[in-house]
Amino acid sequence: MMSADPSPIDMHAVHSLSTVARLLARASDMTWDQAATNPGPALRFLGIGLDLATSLALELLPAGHDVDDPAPVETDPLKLLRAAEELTRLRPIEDFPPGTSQVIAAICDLLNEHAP
Amino acid sequence: MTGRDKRSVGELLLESDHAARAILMDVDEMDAATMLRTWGEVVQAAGELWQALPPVTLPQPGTGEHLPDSADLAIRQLRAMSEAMHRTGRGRVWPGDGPADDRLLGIAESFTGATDLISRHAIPRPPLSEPERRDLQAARTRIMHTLYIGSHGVAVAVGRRVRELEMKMATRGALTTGDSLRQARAAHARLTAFEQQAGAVIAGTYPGRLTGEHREPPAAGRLAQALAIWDVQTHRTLSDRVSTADLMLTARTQAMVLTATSTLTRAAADYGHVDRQQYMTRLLPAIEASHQGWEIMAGLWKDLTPPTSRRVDPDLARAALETRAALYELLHDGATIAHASLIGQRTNLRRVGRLAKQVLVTNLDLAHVTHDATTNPELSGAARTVNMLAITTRRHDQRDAQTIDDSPLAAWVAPRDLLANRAVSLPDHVRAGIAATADGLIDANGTAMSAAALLDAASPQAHQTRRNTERSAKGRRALHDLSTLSLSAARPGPRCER
Repeated sequence: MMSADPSPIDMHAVHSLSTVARLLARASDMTWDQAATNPGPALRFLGIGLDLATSLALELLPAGHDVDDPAPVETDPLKLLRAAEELTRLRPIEDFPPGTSQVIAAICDLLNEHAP
Repeated sequence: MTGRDKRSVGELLLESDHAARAILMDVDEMDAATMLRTWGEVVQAAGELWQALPPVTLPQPGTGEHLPDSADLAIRQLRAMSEAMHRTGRGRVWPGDGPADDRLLGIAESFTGATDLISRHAIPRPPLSEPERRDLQAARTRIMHTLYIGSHGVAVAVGRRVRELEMKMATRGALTTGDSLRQARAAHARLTAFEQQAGAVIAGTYPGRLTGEHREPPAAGRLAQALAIWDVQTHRTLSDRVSTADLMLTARTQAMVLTATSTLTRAAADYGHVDRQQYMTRLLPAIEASHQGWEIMAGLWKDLTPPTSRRVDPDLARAALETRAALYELLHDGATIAHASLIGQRTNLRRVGRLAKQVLVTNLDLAHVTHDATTNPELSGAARTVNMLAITTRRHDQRDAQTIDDSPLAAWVAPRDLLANRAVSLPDHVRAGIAATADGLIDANGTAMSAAALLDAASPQAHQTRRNTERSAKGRRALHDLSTLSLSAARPGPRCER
């Protein structure tokens, strides 16, 4: 990750990251759905945070990588967020594309801000 | 670390990573001073472990010396930064002497354990075999990743402490013994620089630009600046390219900004800095209508964004992130929204009326920019949603000759595009429907801007509310400490660090 030589892309890690992006996108959609019936800003803070984390994760995927898999069935945004964080633990950090640390920090920040 | 510990270097490093994440997730429950006191040990242990690893560069001809690579230089800089921070902090009031943080100590112990393991075995020298090289890179990456996540956690805790001290200063005019706002701010700035340095290495951009800039305390100034940057960046992004993902982020960010502005304005009205009557009867309904308009737009853009195209312009994302951070800093209280009194301690509520006007002017302008985007011929949408909108729009048009008994005579989207849900160009009548929705948004936002125009004209009742609120607040403070109040009003007190 920090070498000058570009490491070969670990497709398992890319697939995991792609799933993380899908979980985050789903969490975002569920949050914005809930926000439609809740006038306060709290859910919108979470929604925007999830949107930005999703984009950050997608940014790390190789160009043309397909993330059009079925959406997860879970509807609780915080459970989806936790699932995304747990998924990043299943593989060592060095297998992921450079920049994944920032995605993990963003996820942990959101959990810290919004998890009860 | 004892001789009975059977964990490998890789396992110890993985544990450090997980411990750093756990700290970050629980950081609200942790003590900033304790964390700051212990952080130096983590960095020192990480530096020693890094040093124990074999060099990655080939030996120089003649001398056999291994020159450092960019990551070697970075870890040296991080150690130097941490040591300097520790030296500066020695003997100071804050964080002062005291207990260490157990979880950070655990990370330092894992690093030390890994160093011991490596030292007990023969170290391979370059040129390394491919598996050795991979192992080495993995270890270096894990160390740097843990430093990045860990420093972020400590910075979050110290940042929170800074805000607490700022609130104390605002309410009492002085701090208790053992606290120092200046030293907490300095530590926060240095940790932020450390985090940026480690983050630059991890992101593979070292030696990228390291600003190490000091973050301003929460104030309307930061928010006003964030909103101005957001306004400029939205214009730039939406005029440079047209993407439903960018439009979705714009709409959702505006929805967030409006609800947050409404909360801020209500707090200002509670304290009489904004005419409460005007807020309740004119501004609030207008903001709600505008907010609803943005959420309808956001829903439309979300449906039109193929799942493969949800990445947004990074500059737009950065601007949205800063806007969110500036608002969150003022409004959050744990996982809920702060009470008006707490918001009032964090920012100058007198400036909220002007800020709300700025937000609602930008709000109208962004509705126009959004409308312009709907007329851009390059605008495309996810095939399934485009198809659904095409059929629905025609179905509602009784004069349409291309629909018989609710069924279209021609397909609007090719089956292969539907199957893959690819981005396809918009049929004219679908585009017209989206543009009409954006027209509605412009109308709602125009009304909201007009409603904000009267915010400064505080009614006699509002003045009375402010006088009563200030009088009762003064009374409460006087009961607590009359002498402190009079000192702070005249000049900085003995422990005042404003």
